[in-house]
Amino acid sequence: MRTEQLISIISADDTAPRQIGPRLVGWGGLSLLACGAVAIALRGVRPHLVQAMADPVALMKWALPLGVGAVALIASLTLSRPQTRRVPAAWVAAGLGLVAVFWLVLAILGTPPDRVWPIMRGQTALTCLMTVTGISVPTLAVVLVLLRDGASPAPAYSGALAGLGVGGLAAFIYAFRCDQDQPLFFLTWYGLGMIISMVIGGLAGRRLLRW
Amino acid sequence: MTKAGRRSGAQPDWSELMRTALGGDAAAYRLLLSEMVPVLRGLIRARASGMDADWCEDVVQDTLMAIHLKRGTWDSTQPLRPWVYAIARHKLVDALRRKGRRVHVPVDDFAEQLEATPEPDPLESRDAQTLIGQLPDRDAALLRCLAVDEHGSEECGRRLGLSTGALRVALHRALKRLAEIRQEAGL
Repeated sequence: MRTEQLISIISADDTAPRQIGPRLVGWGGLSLLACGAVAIALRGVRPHLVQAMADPVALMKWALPLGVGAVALIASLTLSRPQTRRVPAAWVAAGLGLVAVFWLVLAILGTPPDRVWPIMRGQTALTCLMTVTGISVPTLAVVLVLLRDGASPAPAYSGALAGLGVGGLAAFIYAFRCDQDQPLFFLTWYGLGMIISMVIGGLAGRRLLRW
Repeated sequence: MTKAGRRSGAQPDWSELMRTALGGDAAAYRLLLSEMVPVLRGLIRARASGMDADWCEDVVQDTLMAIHLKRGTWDSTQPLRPWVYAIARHKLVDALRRKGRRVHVPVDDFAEQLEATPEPDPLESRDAQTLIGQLPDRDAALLRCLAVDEHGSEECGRRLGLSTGALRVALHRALKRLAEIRQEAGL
């Protein structure tokens, strides 16, 4: 087929392109709410929710994942445009991640060595990981399908950012259930849950977001 | 006058054309795509040294398909050209990689080859017909009908028994599938 013929075909297609951003917020938000509602319905809300949210340390269980999640999703949207070269939002997410790591190191150093692992492990490490991943994966699938309309210059990176973003929001929701308020615990397991989601997103993105 | 000045004076504003096209003006869209072809050809041939002209034309067609299907990712407040070059570069790098060639295609001066004189004669791309043949029969028939210049979409719809709405849906879906097939076939 000659290129002129291809142009004839293409220019006959007047289906208007759809923006990704609004659909991502709408469908992604809906999916996250549904998965979060199921998780909370199955497991219930934590005791002393209001007191915990008034405590600056425990509040970080919501604030950190929400912050990382929001900026990572913004970064994945930025990266859905092909000419994108710099993604400042990703640096902000990385910065917040560094703060969390730094805080974790301080928490480890400030704890007697024989107490570090018992506190870190807590009572619900595995539940935390599974619930965060469980809330995250269905929504991540929705987000990746929507991002397929994008044209990322770096598909794996885009997918990883989407995974980190959705994982962060999933951890934020799980914080309404989780009653472990020790930084040693939540920095470790929330962080790990978000990293799992990020890795899934990166692997899936490498295939799904190619164009 | 600088070369850049002459160039921008000689060419219509792509961003403006695309905005008009996105507003539903098919003629402006067609003009824009036709204007792009020689530029893309020049760019891709200059950057894919050693590959023959047929192969380059396939990359030009891949780029046109991507420009069409991904035009929602263009921010209409920004100039169109950097966006177009980014897509062309992506398609070229992808095609070279599939050929097993690891060629460094710089981002910065990718578009600094506009002067490369494109050959005027349009080329046959060898595999495109076969690729269309992999589509479901009705989609393939639709694309073949539209490929003939004189057939408008009304006439093709009448021939294939498709209403305007059904044709629109079928065409869009067929183009998306064709893009996927092109990618998998790795021309």
